[in-house]
Amino acid sequence: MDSNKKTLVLSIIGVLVLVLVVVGVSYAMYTFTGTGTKENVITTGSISVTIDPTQGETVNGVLIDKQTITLTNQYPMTDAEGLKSAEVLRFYVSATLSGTTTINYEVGMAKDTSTLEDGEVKVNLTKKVGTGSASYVKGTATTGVLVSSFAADAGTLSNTTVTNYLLDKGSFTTSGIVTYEMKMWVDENYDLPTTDTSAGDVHSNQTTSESYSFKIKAYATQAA
Amino acid sequence: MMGEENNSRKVFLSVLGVAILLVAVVGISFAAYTLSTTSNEANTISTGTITMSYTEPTNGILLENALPVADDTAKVWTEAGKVFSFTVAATASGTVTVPYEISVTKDGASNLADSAVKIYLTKGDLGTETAVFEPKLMSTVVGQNKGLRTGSDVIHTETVNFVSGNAANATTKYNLRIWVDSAATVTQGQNYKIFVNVDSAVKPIGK
Repeated sequence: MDSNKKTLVLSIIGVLVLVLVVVGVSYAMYTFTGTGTKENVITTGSISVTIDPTQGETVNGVLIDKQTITLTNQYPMTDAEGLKSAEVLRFYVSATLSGTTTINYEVGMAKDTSTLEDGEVKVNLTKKVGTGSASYVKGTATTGVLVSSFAADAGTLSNTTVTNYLLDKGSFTTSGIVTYEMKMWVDENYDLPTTDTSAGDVHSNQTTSESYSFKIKAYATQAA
Repeated sequence: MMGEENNSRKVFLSVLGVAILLVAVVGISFAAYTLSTTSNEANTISTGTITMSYTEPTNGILLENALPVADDTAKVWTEAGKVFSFTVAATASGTVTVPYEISVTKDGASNLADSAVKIYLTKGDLGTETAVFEPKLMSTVVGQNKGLRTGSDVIHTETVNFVSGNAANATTKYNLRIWVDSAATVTQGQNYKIFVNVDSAVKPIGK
C-alpha cells in the first residue's frame, strides 16, 4: 500500500515538472483501450547544396567550368581595362531538393595570406539564376568595387563561416543552380612599391611584386 | 491491490509517453540541414615587377678653354670628355608600357649665356648614332620643356612597350654633346654646367 502511494506521488511530481498534459489518467471504474491500425508516416525529402558542382556551363559538350582564377604580372588599371579581362572566376551554388522546403545560403571570400590590401583590389561579380540573365552583384557594367567596400559585411544566417567579405546571399525553394562570375584587378590608384637599388654610377630602382589570394566560402541552411 | 498497481502503471506510462513526445517536439524545431564549406583552390592576383636604371659614365663632359665650334664638327666628337655616353635600361614582367624622359638641369652657377651653348642628343653606339634631339641653343631649351622633374627641361622621351616581358628598346645607349655655338662671343673663364636626368612615371593601364 505505501509503495503504491509513493509511486503515485512521484508520477504526479514528474508531470508537474515537465508541464505536460496528462490525458485520460485517473482512477476509473471503467477502462477502454483501442489500438489503431492505420499508419501515420513521415518520410524526409533530400537536400543537397554544392559549391563547384561537376556539372556547369558547357560549350559544345565541353565543360568550361573554371574553378579558380590566377592572374600574374598584373599592373594597376582602370575599371574599363579590368572589365575587359578574359580571366573569369566562375563558381556555382546549386541545390537539389526532393521535398518542400527553403534553403538559404550565403557566399563570401575567404581571404588567404595577401600583401595587397583590400583597398587595392577591385572585383566585379555577376550572378545568373538558372538560365536567366546575369545581374550585377558587385559593381556595374562599367565599374568594379574595392574589396574593402564589403570586407566587413557579414552573413545573417547565424553561422561562423561567412563572418566577413560577404559576396551574396540567396535561397532555393526548388532545385536549381546559381552561377557567379567574378573578375578582379589591381585598382588604378595603387602605387607599385619600389626599392632603390642604386650603386656607384648606376641609378636604379625596382618594384616589389605583391599579391592577393582568397577562396570562396559558403554557408547554407534549411529555413526554420 | 492488483487494480491499484495497474492504475499506477498506467499513470507512469502516460507520463513517460508525454515526456518522449515533448522531447520529440523540441528536437524537430532545430534545422535539419546545414552546409559550411570553403573551396579547395585559392584564387590569386599578383603584380608584375618593373626595374629601371640610368648608368652614367665615370666622367662627364669637360671642355676646357672651349671656343666656338661649328655644329658639324661637334656632332661627331667621340673623344672622352667631349661626349657624355649613358645608358637607360628597363625591365618589366608581363605587358606594360614604361615611358621615360631625359632632361637636363642647368647648374645655377653657370655664367655662360644660354644663347652661347648648343646641346645635341643621339642614341646608339658612337659612330652609328641616330639623332633624337637636333642641335639647339640652350636658350630655346631652358625653361621651355617642362616634364616630370621640376627645374629641368626635357630633351627626349622614350616609350618602352613590354609584351610578356619583352621590348625591343628595353636598353638604349645615348650620347650627349654640348659646345659653344659658332656664333657666340665668349670671354675666358666662363663656364656652363648641366646635369642629365632620367625620370619615369608609369601610368595605370587604361589611363
